[in-house]
Amino acid sequence: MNRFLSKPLSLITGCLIVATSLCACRGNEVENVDLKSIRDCKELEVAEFNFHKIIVERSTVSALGIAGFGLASFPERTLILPVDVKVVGKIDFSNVTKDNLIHDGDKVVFTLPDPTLRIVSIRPDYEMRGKASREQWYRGGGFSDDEIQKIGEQAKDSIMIDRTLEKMAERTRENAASVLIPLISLATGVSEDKISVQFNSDLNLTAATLKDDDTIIFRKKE
Amino acid sequence: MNKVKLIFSAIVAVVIIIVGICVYSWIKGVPAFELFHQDNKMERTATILRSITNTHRWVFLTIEDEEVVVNEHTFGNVAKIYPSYYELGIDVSDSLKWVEIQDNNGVRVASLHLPPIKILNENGIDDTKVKNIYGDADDKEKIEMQKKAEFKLKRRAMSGANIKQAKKTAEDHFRNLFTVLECDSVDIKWQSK
Repeated sequence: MNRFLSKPLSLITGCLIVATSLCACRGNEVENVDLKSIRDCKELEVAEFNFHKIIVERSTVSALGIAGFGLASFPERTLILPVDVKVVGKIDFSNVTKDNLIHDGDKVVFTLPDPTLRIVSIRPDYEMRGKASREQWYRGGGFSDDEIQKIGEQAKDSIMIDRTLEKMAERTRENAASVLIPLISLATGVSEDKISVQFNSDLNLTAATLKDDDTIIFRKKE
Repeated sequence: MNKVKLIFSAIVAVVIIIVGICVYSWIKGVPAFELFHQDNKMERTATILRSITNTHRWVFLTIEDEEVVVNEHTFGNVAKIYPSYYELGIDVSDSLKWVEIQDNNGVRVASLHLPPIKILNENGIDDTKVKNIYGDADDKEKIEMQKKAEFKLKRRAMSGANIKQAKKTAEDHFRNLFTVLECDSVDIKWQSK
């Protein structure tokens, strides 16, 4: 081969090899995305809590701003968006065994698993937003995706308040008892007034963790 | 000479003003100069617990899925991804008509007539998690696109295999539960409708 050609040729080949190996590496990158899946469960949903929140956003646009002071400002745009949030209170039955049922004389005591909550839906009412909002000529009435996400976060935060959580957990327990006592009475043949339902007492009903899948799990008492 | 002096002091004055503005905005944490400034403020509002419904639903299968919907336009298409979460199970409401206990000389048999498996949460799409890929849709179009996604997602969630799986888990669960509740045998039948 020509002496003058061999160097550039090997250089090009080298570059090609590096480029293809880089491409191959890129293809092998593992996607960092949650696994969407089908999951078996044995849960009893006993309560549904319907929350309502009205989101108000005011936006102003000023022009020719110097050090935070606008020399001219446009009229304010006000968006009003009602949001419905639905939370479900449930009890997981996957670990219920014979140990959960205890005979105490002629009485029957059933120990219920811990309640959990799940935010099942956050529904903004777009139709109402269209009617109630004051839009301006320079900007339409829509929320951007980021804003909608922020609204979702705000709605979730407003539910993760101690008193609200406690109320929901207590109601879930009450409802579970009222659903299960007749069922236990029917199945065991013991009259309802002799059946009691008890709960795990070391659960802290005012402190909970919101998981990525919108499930709210109560923490144990410290 | 005087003219040069005047121009020079004017330049110095302008520089001092500019530097002053810059320092002031730096201390206050605002941009020194900008053509347009947009300020969005979300007000803190109360959250109201409007209603509590008592339910009696058993969930046996949860399905996380997503669907892409593309709406074609003459000027640019719109594409969105709709994530969904559906719960499959049975709704037995408040009555106990689905359970019958027969006592044959001390042998307790539980006969269950379970209602058909259905989707328990109708609003399976979380609006705040919808991802816009490209394009812009107005409210009417958004609702229309969401309906399209919902139809496909629900059909996929209620597939034969999923219903079969949910039924299997349900049967396992009720066999275990009624055994815990001291029944000797459990007989399960599914209502056709």
